[in-house]
Amino acid sequence: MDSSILTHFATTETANSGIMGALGIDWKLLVMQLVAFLLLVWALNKWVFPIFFKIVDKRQALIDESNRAAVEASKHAETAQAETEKLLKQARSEAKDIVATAREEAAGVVSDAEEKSKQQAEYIVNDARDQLTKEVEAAKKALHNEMVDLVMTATGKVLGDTVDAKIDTSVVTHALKEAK
Amino acid sequence: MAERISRRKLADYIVDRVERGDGIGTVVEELAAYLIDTRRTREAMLIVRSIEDELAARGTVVAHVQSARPLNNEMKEAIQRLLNASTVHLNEEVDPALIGGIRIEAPGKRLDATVKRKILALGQVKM
Repeated sequence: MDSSILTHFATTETANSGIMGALGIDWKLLVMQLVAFLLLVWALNKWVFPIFFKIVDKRQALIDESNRAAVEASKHAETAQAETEKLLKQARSEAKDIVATAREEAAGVVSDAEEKSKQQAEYIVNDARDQLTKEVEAAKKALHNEMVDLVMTATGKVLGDTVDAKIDTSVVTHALKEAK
Repeated sequence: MAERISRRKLADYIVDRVERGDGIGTVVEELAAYLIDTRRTREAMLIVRSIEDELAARGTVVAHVQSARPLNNEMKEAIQRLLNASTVHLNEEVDPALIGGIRIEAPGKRLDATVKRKILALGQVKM
């Protein structure tokens, strides 16, 4: 069989002389190989390539999605960074304001406390002065009243020793005359 | 218990009895009995004052006189002239604490000319 084929080709080769023959190409074999190749391409195209293409497309979609997500994430990150910076800036500004306000309030509180302390001190001093004045006045009154008592006692004693019957009669007579 | 009589009517009645010549002792005993019966013994001094007022209204003045020394006749006459009544009864009291001068209390009149009062008047300058 093989020898017949070889023979056959040999005979064919000799029969098909020309350019193909000079090049050693058997056009029938070439056709058959071409057909087989096309069949293979068709089969691959029909059953194998779609699967691969599908997988590749899927992966491509995944990659694209990932890229988009990465870009989106990057944008988000940038936005977040900007927002964070803005917030930080705002927070710093607010913190500065709060500190300034707190300083002002503290200064106000200290000032108020000083003012109150001064007023309290003045009140205490004035109160003490008033109290002292009252005590001095009370002491003066007490002294005055004691003096009056002493004068009354002394006068009573002196008059008690001095007023005799004659003077008494004169006093009584004078009083009765005045009463008329 | 006897009926309650006003002090004025009581004084009027008693002065009437005395002027009629009833014994003072008897009148006073009846008055005391009446006051005890009507439980008005606390009003005794007020009733005496009412009687004195009534007597004064009828020309008889009862005057309470206080002095440091006993009064002489000249002083008594001066007091009677001062009270300007037909009859004057003096209830004299000697109180050396008055030092000198005289104090007279009669219905509607009061005179305090004692040295003690004058000294006490000094106390008014107390603060």
